Amino acid sequence: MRKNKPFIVLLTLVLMMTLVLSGCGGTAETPDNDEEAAGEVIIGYVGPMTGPSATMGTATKQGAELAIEEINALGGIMGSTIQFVTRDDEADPTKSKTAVEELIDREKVQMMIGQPNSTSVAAAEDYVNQNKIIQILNIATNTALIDPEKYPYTFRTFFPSPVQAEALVNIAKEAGFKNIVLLGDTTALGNDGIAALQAACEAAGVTPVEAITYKSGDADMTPVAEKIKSAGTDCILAWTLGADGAKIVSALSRIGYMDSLTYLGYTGLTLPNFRELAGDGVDRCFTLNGSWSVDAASGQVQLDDARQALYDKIVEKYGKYGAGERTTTPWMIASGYDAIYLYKWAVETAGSFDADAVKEVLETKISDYDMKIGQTDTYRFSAENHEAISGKDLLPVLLDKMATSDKIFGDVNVRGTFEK
Amino acid sequence: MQQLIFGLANGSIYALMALAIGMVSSTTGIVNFAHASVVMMGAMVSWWMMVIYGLSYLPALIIAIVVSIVLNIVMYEACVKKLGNLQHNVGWIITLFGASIILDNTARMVFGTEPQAFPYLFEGKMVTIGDANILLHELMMITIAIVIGIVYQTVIKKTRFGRAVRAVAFRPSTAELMGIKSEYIILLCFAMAGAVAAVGGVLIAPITFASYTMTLSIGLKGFAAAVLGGFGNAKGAFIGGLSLGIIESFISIFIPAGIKDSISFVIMIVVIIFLPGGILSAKIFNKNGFASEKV
Repeated sequence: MRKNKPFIVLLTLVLMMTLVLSGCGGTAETPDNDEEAAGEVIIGYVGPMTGPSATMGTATKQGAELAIEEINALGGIMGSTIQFVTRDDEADPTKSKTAVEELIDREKVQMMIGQPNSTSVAAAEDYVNQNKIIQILNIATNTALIDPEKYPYTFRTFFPSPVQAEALVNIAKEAGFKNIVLLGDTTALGNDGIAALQAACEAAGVTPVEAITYKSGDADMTPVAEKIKSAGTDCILAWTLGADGAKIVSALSRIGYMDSLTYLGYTGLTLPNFRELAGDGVDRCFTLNGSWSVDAASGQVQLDDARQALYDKIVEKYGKYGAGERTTTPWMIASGYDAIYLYKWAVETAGSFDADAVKEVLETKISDYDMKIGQTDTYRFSAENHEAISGKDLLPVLLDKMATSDKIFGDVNVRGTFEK
Repeated sequence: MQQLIFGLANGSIYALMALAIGMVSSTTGIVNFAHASVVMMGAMVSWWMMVIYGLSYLPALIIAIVVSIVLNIVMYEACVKKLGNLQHNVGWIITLFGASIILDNTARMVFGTEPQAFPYLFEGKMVTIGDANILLHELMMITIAIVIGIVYQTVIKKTRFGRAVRAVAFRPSTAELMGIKSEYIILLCFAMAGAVAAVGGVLIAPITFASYTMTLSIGLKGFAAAVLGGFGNAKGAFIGGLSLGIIESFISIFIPAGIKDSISFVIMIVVIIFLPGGILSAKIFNKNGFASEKV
């Protein structure tokens, strides 16, 4: 044994070095120095490609890859080919921070998308901004992530909680509902949602009858339904997730009160199964969406021509919604696609890859951006506001068959059952 | 009226869980911490049979009962029997908790993570009594639970098997000397508990939706009901289960959701402090001075 000791030590050292070196390597293609010299722009993306959040992490990557493929085929951005480098953070903020630092320090990325998880963004956002990297958040919703003073290079093209709350309250107010009840669970998600709804009510001069809470995952939601009924509710503004929301709607139907109210929920209602589990009461349930559901020209719940064309491209490349390559809604892939084109437009308008010049274009010339395939047709960036979408841009969408088809919210009939 | 029916319906499921926990507890002295997971498996197997194989309610339920019985027997053989004297070796706490986690994870892998809609009995038909809308399914929940309770109580009191169970519950070693195969009786009690678990799972699934997490909250209530009524006591299981269901149903109207469970458990703690043997140990139920029977 003693005789073999030096050999074992040497072998251990070699293995450790191999592990360290392989750990430094990326999961995606690393730019070749020759190509970089020939003119390349490096775009980075860190997101969950494995684990429970993999659906949205993969969607962003798929959308970005689709856009990059098209742009590179037509000569890139101002003649520079886009090199796309990605890392899987498994939605772990610590891994995410390390991966972002690696992409900035080692890969020298000039722009970043995401990350999709708010906690991951928060972990690395300081570093991204200190290094003057333009960052576009296409999915992360936490309110605090957008702050033009603190994070001058971070922009968001999705709608966060306060924007959704503002839209829900305004829709209810304009529809003339009198007895509005706020509904959310007792977790941080529900508390934040109720707080956002209360703030939006105050801003809109609406006084809700009551804020009702429930315990997420509770077996029986009939007591919640009874409280809603006894408050004489005609409209529920709900911050509920799929299964819990469905249980409440089902319980409201069970006590015969669902026909007396309108259930207007934040985008958590688009989770798979809500429509299936909620039963007949779903006919009175609405959620929010932007232009990726309602054709402004016709006013119908359908895709307009631009989004239909992108949907067709997504289906051609990644297939229909279902088990396999595409397991998410088309708008989520489109959000990654849109982020790349938005950056391309800003760079070309600025005539430079310089982050300050790109930032200025996004803040001052966004009304000229006419690629209308994002969540809304109008982006509202300014020097003081890095949120693209306002509560005024969102619309109520009935959770009917069209809305829950693959085109808009993903075909809920695919997931969770054994049918295709 | 509406609240009373909701309370009785949920309470009947707590009662069935408490009854099954009591069946095992009375003969072995242990608490089956994996019982809620067997209830869940009963519901999931039944759902699977209906969705995949297109079976109707009754055949799906029968298969679920068989699977749950097998699960409980395997659990007894693997997690309980090997431990020997259960009074001295409390390893069953860990083995049964472990079995519960294994069952939950297995269900997640086999059936997926998404909750599934589970059909009501009688296609969700409702009857209106006064101003209350009552599902026929809820009435069936209450009826089936009571029938199971009465059948179990009759078997225990009136049959040779029942006497054998009571003998084993009283003292297994003495029962052995009387020619009763304690081992066999315990195994049968585990099997019966499995069957009751499957029935409870199928009855509650339309309300909770079928998923691997469906019994996370009601599982604890089953134990609470068993303690509230009197641990290891069939009548106590029903008194505990139905009282807990009714208390919950009425208090949840008036208090915030976040403290609903706390109130239920405060009531339970108070009962246990003043009546350590559960509600059935109160003097009012034992006027002749006899302590309530163990089974």
